[in-house]
Amino acid sequence: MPFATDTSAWFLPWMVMLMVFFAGLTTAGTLSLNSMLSRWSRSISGSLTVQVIPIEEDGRINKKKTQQETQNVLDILRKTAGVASAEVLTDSQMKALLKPWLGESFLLEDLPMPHLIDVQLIPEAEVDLEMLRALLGRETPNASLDVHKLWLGKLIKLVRTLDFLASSLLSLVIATTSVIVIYVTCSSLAVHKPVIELLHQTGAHDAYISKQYAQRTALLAGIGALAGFSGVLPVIFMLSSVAREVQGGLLSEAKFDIASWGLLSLVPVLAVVLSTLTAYWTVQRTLRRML
Amino acid sequence: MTEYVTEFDAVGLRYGQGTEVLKDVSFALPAGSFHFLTGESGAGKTSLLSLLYLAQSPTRGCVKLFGKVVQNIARDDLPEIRRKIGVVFQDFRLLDHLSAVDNTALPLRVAGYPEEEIQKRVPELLMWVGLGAHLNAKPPTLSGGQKQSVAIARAVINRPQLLVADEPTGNMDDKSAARLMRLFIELNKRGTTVVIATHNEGLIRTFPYPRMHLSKGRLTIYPVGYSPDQAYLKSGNDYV
Repeated sequence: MPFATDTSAWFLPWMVMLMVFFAGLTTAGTLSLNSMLSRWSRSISGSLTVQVIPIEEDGRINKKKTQQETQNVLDILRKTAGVASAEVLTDSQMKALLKPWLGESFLLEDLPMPHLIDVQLIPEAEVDLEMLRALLGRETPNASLDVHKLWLGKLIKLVRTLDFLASSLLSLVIATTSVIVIYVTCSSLAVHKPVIELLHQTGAHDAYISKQYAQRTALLAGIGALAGFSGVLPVIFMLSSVAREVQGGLLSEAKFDIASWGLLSLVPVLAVVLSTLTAYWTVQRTLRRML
Repeated sequence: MTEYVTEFDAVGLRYGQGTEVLKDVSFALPAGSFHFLTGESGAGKTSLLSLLYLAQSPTRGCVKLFGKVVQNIARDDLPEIRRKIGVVFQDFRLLDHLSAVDNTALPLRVAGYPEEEIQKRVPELLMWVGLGAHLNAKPPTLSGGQKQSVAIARAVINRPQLLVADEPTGNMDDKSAARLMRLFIELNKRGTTVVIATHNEGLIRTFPYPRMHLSKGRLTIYPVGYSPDQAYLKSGNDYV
C-alpha cells in the first residue's frame, strides 16, 4: 500500500460504523414489522369472530337465554355459504386469551364475558358479510360480527407507512454514507497528492491508483461495518427478549427468521461495497483532472 | 536518420498567470545521448525537466517524446510512456512509510512485475548503490546521501529509455557521486538517454559530457549536434 495513514483512516470507520448501526436497526425494524404483519395476516385472514353479549335480567346474567341465543347464532353461521366451521370458544381458550392481562388467578364466571364464536371460512370462498350481519341482527341485537380484515387493513396501512419511513431513512443513510466517503476520499487525495503524482510519474494508470484507494477504503469501511453490525446484534436480542416477555401481545409475533438474518447481514456487506465503489469513482474523477 | 528521444520546438511554459519560466526553448536529444543541464538557480532547469518527464504540459510550442506529440497523447497511453522515463527528483520524493526496498520496487509493482522478480532485482540494485545494509530501513532513518541513492535506484530499476535527474549528487560526497555517475554512464552505454541537471562544475569536469545551458528561461547552449536553425525544426517537420 503506497499510501500512509491519515486522519481519514480514523474518521471513515467511525462514520461507517454509525451508518451501519442505523441502517441495521432500521432494516431489522422493517423486517420484524413485515414478519409480524404476515403472521397476523396468515392467522386471521380466513376467519371471523362473532360475539354474543350476555343477556342481563334484573341485574343478573341469564345464562340459559344467552346460551340459547348463542346456539341460534351458531345455527345461522353453520348454514351460511362459505363458512367451514363455527365453534364457541371454550372456557380454557377464553382463559388463555385473558391470561396476558389478568394473569391466572381469576374465575371466568365472575366476569361478564361475551360468548366468542370462532368462524373459519372456506379458502377463496366469497362470504356476503352484509347479509350475514343483517341475519344475525334480525336474530338478536346482542350478536356482533368482527371482520378481522378491516382491522388488518388499517394495520397494513400503518406498517406500509412505517415501511416507507424506513426506506426513506435507509436512502438517507446511503446518501450520507456516499457523501462522507466522497468527502473523506477527497481529503485523503489532497493529503496524498504528492504520492499520487509520484505514482503517476512511475507509470501508474488511474485504475491502479483508484484500486489502491478502493482497497484501503474497503478495509477501513470493513472495520467500521463490522463494529456497527456488532452493535446492532445486542439491540435486536434485547428487543426480542422484551417481545418474548410480552406474551400474547402483538410484539411476540415479531420474530426474526433465517431469511431476515440473511437480509440483515447484507447491510454491512452493502456498506463496504458502497464505500469501496464510491471511493473508486471519486478517485477516478479526481485523477481525470490531473495530468 | 537520427532518432530523437525528445524534441522541443519553440516551447514556452508558465505557471498560472505568472511570467514564462521557459521561453522559446527548442532542442532535440538523440537517443543514447548523455547531457548535463546547467544554469543558475531559477533559470528553469527543473521546469524543463518536468516537461521531459511529463509532469507538465507546455503552454505553447510543441514537445515530442519518443516520437509522439505530448499534447496529443491519450491519457490512457501516458503511463506506458512514463514507464520509459526514470526520474531522480531534487527532493527525492521517497515514501516515508515504505522501506528502501519497497520505495525502489514502486515502478515495478506499478507495472505489475511478479514479486519474485522484484525481490531479486531490487536488493541487487540497492546493494550496488551501497545500501545493502539498509534494505529495510525507512527514509526518515537514512542520511541525505542514502535517500538520494534510494531515489536513484527507484529511477533506474525499470531500465528506462530516458533518465532525467535533478541535482542527483547534491547531497553526496565526491566518492559516492562518482560511483553514481558511473551507474548513469553504464545505463547510458546500454542505450539510456541521460539528462542530468546540476550545479556541480567539478562533476562536469570529471565527466566531460556535453551540456545544455539555460539562462533566464532560454536555452543558450544547445545539445551536441543541434543548432537552433536546424533545418528539420524549421520546415517539413509535421509535429501534430
